[in-house]
Amino acid sequence: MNKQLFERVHETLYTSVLSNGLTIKVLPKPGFVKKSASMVVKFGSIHRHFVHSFTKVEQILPAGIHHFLEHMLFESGEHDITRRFMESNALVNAYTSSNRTVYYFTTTDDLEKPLNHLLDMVLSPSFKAELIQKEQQIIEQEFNMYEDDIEQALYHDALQALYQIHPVKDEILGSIQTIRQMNQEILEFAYQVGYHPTNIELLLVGDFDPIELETMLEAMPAIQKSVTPSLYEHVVIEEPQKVCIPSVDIKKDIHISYASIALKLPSSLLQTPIQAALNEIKCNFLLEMLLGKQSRLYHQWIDQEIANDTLDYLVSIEETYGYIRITSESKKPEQLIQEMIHVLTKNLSISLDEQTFLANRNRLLGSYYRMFNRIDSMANILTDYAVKGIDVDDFVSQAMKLSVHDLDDIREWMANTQIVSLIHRS
Amino acid sequence: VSRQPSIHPAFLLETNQFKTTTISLRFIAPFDSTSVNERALLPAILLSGTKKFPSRQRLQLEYDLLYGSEINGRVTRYGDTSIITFNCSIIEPRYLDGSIDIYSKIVELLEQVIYHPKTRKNKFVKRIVEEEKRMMKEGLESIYNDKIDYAYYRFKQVMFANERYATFETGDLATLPNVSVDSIMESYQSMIQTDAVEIALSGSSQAKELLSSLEAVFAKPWPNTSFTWIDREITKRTKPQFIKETLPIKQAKVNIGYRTHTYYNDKDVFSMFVFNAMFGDYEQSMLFQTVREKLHLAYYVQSSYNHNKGYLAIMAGVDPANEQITIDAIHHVLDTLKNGDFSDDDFQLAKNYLLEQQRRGMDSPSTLLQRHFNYNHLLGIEYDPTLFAKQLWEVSKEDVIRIANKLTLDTIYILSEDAHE
Repeated sequence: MNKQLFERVHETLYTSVLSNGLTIKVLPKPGFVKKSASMVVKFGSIHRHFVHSFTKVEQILPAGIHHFLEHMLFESGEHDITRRFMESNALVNAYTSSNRTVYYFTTTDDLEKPLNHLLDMVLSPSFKAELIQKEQQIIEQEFNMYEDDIEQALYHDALQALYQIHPVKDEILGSIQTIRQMNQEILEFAYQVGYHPTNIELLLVGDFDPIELETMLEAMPAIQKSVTPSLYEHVVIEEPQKVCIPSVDIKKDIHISYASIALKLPSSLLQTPIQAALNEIKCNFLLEMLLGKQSRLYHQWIDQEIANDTLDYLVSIEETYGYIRITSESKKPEQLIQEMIHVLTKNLSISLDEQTFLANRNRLLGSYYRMFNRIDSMANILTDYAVKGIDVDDFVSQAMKLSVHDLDDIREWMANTQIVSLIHRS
Repeated sequence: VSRQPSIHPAFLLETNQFKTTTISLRFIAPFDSTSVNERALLPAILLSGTKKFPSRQRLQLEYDLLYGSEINGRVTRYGDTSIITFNCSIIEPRYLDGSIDIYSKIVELLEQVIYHPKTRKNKFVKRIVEEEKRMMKEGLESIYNDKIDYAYYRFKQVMFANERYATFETGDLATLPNVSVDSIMESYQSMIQTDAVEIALSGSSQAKELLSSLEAVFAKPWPNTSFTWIDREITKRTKPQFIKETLPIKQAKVNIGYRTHTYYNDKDVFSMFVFNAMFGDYEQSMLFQTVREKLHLAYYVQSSYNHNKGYLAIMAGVDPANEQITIDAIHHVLDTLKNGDFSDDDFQLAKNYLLEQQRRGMDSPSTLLQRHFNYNHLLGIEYDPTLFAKQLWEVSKEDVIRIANKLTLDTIYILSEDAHE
């Protein structure tokens, strides 16, 4: 196994590729009671356009199919899958996001049985037609649950406004219409396309020996199953620079209005995975200094009663898209939006303090250490960086070398890009 | 049952498992409904500026320079006792390059926040107090934005309407305008002068050094007052109350409350835990399996047991057309448990689930500190990580049946859709 030392945090990561093409990564954590195993399928809601390698015929998957598949995998097999895990004292769960579907369990007991279940579940499923209808009903209920959820609305409306064609604009759940389109044939096709072992990584964190684990895994039936090559390739959709809807104003059943602005990053800032990740952290540093809790503005806006302590920013940068969202509850949403736009477009005239920048770097380093306090956050960070395709320790080392002047390209872009404004009115 | 008190006002749980040392500083006092707003505001006001670091912004810079050692403060309530806790975790010095003396820095920060708040002429700053009042008001109002939270909040208001418990430790909107810089000062003086103080740490043996520094600043003798951690007040009712309110929402929220007549320091509490798990606490529970999986009535359905107040609440999100049938189904599931009509498998699985949860807590410094606190104060015994498993194995199927029959239905609260829509 390939051994990699994370010197800063005194940890070692072991990596290997199994005979069926599945990559495994093991982070041994002696002393911890909990163990975690995650099957990270690099197939999420934005992976909708595929082309056949030989015929070049395009296939477009309906929105929501990744999440639907996630639900169906819990329904395949003879027994209730959640209960099977429970019987070996493991708790299983899954989630679907824009760029991945992750199936994971945690246990404080023996690993082998639940690991076998997990591999079976993800690598050898069956889709029963009669269960598709049941899932359609459950997912429709899930829609209704999110319908009343204001956070979801803020997120979804911002993406709708920013993006013209990139599939990130569609809801991960899909829509009632696309959910009703689901059938056995399309689900099997999507599974073939997205769940090839070479597109999956198995991440293991806990108190165990990596070599023994590798041997145990190679012997498992799901790994020994023969694999046919994958014939479809993902096609990246080129998103225009112009936003879709510059300004949104919606009435909602809430007591305080929300003011938000949103920006999308140009593909020039997302050339390589490590560049994208460094730009993500640079955006975070910059926004923290401009309007985070360290800034004068954050406190000024709260004093002026145009924002409150829900004021926050979110930077999300992935392989094929990136956006920034700034949002707060506000009793004067128009005024707050004006102020937010002002600080971004005039940011080049604001001088940034070296010590505050150092504080940002120190906080990042602190959060990196803290990740290794919990099995779950270690599994999450390994998952994130597996999907990003970069080495987390290398990334932290590079980020710790950044200086305040390295923010210049981001500042320049921010001052000159189109900004979407959104009001969710009480 | 009389128990020997064994209070440790300052201690270190020694472990090398984590990258951080975790600090919990608690100020403990009898719950007083007349100062609930002041006490809820105090942590935020203290954390908004000190003599040396006079603004939130300045404090934030200090936290960040110290690798994100943010100090958090909050108020909680256990029965008739109110606790203000300051929590903080710092990176252990063995991982750092030594350029910062992180121990003395964090002690200074805590001392500043707690003993040297920003004041003017011995009064808290009016602007800060008013700002925190406004944030609290907006926070309380925003509960309305999440309809699940809002329904649960209303449910508790309705179920405990005439009880002490109805005054929530998070603050009261109606009396909030009465808070003044003087009433805050009064509450603050009472906190630093009369509250009992507990200093709890988890970290490597090196943190002994930190513990002594913290003791030198904060430790004081434990007071003679005994605290009441359990609230046994129950409103007498001739029949359960049924209350339905409406809002323009798509999914109705059904909340059902039972009195369990079982509290944390009762011997029955372990049977109660097993019962609650079997009833609705996890995915294999009978509620989840029946109401969601078999009948497809709800997207979520869950029960939770509050061991300090002795109530059990069920929350479900359902189509408004299915409200009554969901309630019937929930009653039916409870009857099944009352009649002992469940398999040995279900019973064992619930125990395994609880043990799993218990073991998982061993990997979390804050959970370990919380358990230490619960054993020490609520049970009055030494922390014993094996006790839970021992007691759990002794629970029999008959115990679960007995607990199920002890439950009394108190309140059904539904937040439903507007009929006009």
